[in-house]
Amino acid sequence: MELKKAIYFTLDSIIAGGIVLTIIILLSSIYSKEPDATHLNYLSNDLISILGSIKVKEIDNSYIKSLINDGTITNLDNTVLQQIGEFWANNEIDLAKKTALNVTEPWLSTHTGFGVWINNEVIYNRDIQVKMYLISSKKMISGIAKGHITDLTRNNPPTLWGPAIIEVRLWE
Amino acid sequence: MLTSKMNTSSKSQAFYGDFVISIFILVIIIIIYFEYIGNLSNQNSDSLSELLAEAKIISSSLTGAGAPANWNTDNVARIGFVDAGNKINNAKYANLNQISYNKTKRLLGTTHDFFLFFENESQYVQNVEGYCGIGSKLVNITYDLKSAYLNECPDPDDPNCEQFLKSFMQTELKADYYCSNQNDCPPGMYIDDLINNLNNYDFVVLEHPALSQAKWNNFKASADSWLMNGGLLFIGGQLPSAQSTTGFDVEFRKKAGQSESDRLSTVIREDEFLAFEVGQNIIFRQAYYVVNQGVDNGFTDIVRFNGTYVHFNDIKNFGDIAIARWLYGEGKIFFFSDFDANYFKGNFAEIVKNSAKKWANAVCLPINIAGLKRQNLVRLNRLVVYKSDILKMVLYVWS
Repeated sequence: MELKKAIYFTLDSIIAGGIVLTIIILLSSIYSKEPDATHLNYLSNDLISILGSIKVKEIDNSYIKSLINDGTITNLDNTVLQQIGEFWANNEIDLAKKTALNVTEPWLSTHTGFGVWINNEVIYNRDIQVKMYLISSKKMISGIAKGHITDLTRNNPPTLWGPAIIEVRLWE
Repeated sequence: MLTSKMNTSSKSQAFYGDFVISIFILVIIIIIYFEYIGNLSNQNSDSLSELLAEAKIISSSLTGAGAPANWNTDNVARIGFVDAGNKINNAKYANLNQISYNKTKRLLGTTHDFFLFFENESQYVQNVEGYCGIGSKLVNITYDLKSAYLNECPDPDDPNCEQFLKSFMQTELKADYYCSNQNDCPPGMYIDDLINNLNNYDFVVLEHPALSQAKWNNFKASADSWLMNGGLLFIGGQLPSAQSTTGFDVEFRKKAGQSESDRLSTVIREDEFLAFEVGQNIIFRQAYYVVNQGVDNGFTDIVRFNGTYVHFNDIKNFGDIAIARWLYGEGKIFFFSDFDANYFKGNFAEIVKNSAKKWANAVCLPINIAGLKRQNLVRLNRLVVYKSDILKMVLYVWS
């Protein structure tokens, strides 16, 4: 009877050892997977470069398209950054925030902090603590005020807003 | 009573001993494991950081404009395919695909292997200009596209058959194979089966099917609605046995003469789907041509036979059409005189294959790097714009 119990304990330890080894092997395989290296300086530069050049009429984004369709966005030649700036200049901060959120959300991991400031006024800010480092990219923007004529003549110049400094911050 | 108590005590000791030993072994294993991982990390940190530095250099080069500013495969000094505003320059990206992998590595100044692909906002691999990725052949690229391939040969492995797209269709697109000769056709692979199954496919290639007129008529009748609903059809070589036949708003004809001068043609138009260079010559193995009989718009002639003409403008205006594409309802048709051809400036078959992937807008399946034999691997992400979409450019570099 006692002998049987001893055999039973040995089997237990072999099974336990097997489980431990399996866990270690699994951990090793996870450990050796490729590191995710979306470098924030690249991401920050890429975002400000893309959003500062792609026009609202070009970008394939359902939220911006809906704003164009309902007449909220009138100047289709605005870049995305200019459009955010125009909303800011018109004190439509919620629209500016939603635009910034919609165009950037798919490209940012959930643990990456992101925010947009115009002239140091926060437009959108992800509620994530800065733990390691923060990268900032800035660009000067200006544009034609909403609803104003865009024929650029000396006698009848369009009303402009800005210039303002738009800042994109990313952090982890 | 006392004996019973001692027995109980002894059993408890055995449990306790087992527990202590197992914890002890576990602690030793954990210490060894973390020591090993720590050392491994220290040993590799230098090479990993070097690899990362190299990946950054490669990604910076690729996301630049390259040199000279309008580089092509002949004069490229530095590879780069991204213009201002991070926009992919489609022509440069297509050119990059024409450069061999080893030359690309040399131009990028790296000895390490690399692979580049794009992900859309849903994190699916994006087909860019017909390519799911560029780089080492060790990374398998596969497409999700329901396709079929029809050829006259009953034996798919017959080396005497004209089957220039067969390998591509079967290996890369996993196409179903059909043949037009009933006597030797395996069950379920006859042209009639293709006609019955046509609606199951997105993309169909007819390479020199040499059909009877009756079978051609049956195919046309079935393909008409399939094309109208968005099918993509590539046709080349002899269609029905007759010298001339009609279908899909054009007339298909065979050139009267088949000497080399009859089969000589010239690229007369730059086309976004076919990377041929204007003014360059192509010699087809067999000379067939199309005559537009009713395509109102969307008919694009790309290559014309020289015939008796010498001057480019004469060929462009009067030569018989050797390669053309046109819209048919929601669908698209691409006609090639023959898939067997010599293109003096490049690989004809490769250009046709890339055009197929681009036209068919084949969905790329996930890139799997699990099977790569490597010591270190780094991944670098960048953002770029393709047409009007923002994409994530993913670069893997490994040693």
